Amino acid sequence: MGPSVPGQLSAYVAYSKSASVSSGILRRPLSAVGRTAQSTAEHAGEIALLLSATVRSVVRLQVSLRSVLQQIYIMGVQSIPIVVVTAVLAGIVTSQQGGYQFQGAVPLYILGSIVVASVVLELGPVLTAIVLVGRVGARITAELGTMKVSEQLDAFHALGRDPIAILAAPRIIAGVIVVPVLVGIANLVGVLAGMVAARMTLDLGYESFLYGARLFWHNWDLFYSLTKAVTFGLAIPVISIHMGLRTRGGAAGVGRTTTASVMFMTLTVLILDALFPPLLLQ
Amino acid sequence: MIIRYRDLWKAFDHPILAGVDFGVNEGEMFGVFGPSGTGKSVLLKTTIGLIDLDRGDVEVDGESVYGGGPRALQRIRYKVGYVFQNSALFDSLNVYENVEMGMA
Repeated sequence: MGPSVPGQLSAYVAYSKSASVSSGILRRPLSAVGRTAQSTAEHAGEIALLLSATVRSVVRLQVSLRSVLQQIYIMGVQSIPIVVVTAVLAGIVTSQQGGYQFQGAVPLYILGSIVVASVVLELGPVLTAIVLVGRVGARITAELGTMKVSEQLDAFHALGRDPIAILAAPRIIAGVIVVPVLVGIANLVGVLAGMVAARMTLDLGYESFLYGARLFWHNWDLFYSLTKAVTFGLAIPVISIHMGLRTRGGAAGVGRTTTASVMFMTLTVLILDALFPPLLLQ
Repeated sequence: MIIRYRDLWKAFDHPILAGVDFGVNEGEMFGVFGPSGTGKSVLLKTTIGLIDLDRGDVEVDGESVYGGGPRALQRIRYKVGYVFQNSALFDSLNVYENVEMGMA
């Protein structure tokens, strides 16, 4: 049993206890906000340092052309099949759903415009980026994370080599080059798939489809699509490399970091995608 | 003295190195023993500047690892042979490229 407390004092003790409980209730969410802000600032700072080190290594001509070409092959050429399959399905689904909504309401040739705009402005760049997050980004994080926990990155330093010039820069350069090309392929294939699907299921002729596509086409849309692609092509390798380089904790750590990296990249792609219309489609 | 560790301090979640101060003479064989997690690898990594210190410095063959700038650090790293715990072979490179990596 605790010590006895006089009347007024016990009221104060009860008040201060409830105040400490309520400050405890406040402390948790506030400290969570603080931790998130600190973590965000750390990520932003490390990504800025990574980018500046990459630019430095490019300017000093420390990046091997062979490594860049190798990464272009791995990230670009090897990704073509999955990007094409995704684009075909996106084009078919857009065409089918558009046809379902418009039949009997508006002239069906408008479908050409809907498919082209949907694929070029949104589905081509975003679906390609999401596919590359899984295929390229996860691979980069796991690869660099494994190198980090097995001291291979330290070994580069020990040999007087810069891991940024050897590992990071070629992947970032390759990303900026290959993603716009892949998005271009996805746009073309998606539109063609939508056109063929409209012909086969809605009996909309190719000429009508193309007439509708031309009716509302702006050249700016292609620029918009490719600008998105360049942005995603920079974001995916930069984030995946950044996450790989901060891996710790053995094999389990590689798994944890790769999962976090995929979430980070996916969210970043979607947030960047949401920022594009107010910036470039006014 | 070929390697001189001067007042090394390093903490992660808890202190790892707390005022480590000793030297190794040329030709001397020097062993560091201790239980896991007591800072042996951290200490060795400071020899070629692979870990940032909270305080202190290391001198290798008269050159400062932490105070000499990037070029001095590069010279020191070329002089020191370092064998990593996990062998640290570059498993994404072939044998030729692994050997080539140390020849530039």
